[in-house]
Amino acid sequence: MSPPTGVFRTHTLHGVEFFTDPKVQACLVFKELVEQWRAERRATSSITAMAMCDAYQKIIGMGPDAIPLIIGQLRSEADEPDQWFWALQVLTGVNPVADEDRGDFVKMAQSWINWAENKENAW
Amino acid sequence: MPGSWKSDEFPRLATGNHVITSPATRRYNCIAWVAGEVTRKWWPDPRNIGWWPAGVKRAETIEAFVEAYGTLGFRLCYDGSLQPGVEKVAIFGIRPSENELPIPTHAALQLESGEWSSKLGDFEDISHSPVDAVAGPLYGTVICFLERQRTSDTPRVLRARASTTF
Repeated sequence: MSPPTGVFRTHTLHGVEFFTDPKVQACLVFKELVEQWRAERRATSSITAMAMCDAYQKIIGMGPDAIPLIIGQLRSEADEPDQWFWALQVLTGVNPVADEDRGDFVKMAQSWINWAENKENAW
Repeated sequence: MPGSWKSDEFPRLATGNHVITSPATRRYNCIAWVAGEVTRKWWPDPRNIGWWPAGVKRAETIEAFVEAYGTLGFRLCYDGSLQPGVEKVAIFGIRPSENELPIPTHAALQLESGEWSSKLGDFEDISHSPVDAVAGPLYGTVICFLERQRTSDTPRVLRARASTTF
């Protein structure tokens, strides 16, 4: 059976086919890439090296669909935000972080979350 | 307790040559740690994500890192030997190829005991000896040492951390 347009086949179990919609599929792909990225970057201290990892570049390659997923990830990371700022800059073309907050990932994450809350109607 | 890193990242780290001195955190990195900062990351990335001292070139070069620590009073020195009253920093780097200059990867700070303190990426802080216990495929080797006079307020954070084992 062919899946309806815009719906992805995820797997078949005991002859039953399972499907998901594009948003769920993007979320699953994103979560997997996050895990791959963390394994790939290992103990590097370099912000640049972290951003050059294959998995991170694939997240950027997801395009604008990745923006709400990254913002959601930042929210979930609370006071231990990860380095999502490079991807957000590339994907949005803006940088809402004040110069004096550079390097402080907690403040940077809050700046991006605030930025997203002002944009959420667009998503 | 084992650290968060994989053994192939630091093949020279072994039982007996290091102690974990903090939980893992993403709040700061090794470059900030050596500068005594635990709430922001130092890195001269091209997108201005990491903090970097004003007036120092944002470049991933050993020269820029030496200059950055120079803003804190560190100057190049001959080696990493323990000298009373002197605080030393080791900057690590990797050469992409034989003919290229090394790219900075890591920094470690010498404690008053002679041990070295390193923050391992987003993983734990450790105290280790010798300095090149963290050398290997990820951080390369020590490229240069810096020094400055050790003052009473310099290692506030480090004194607290060095006495705590996680």
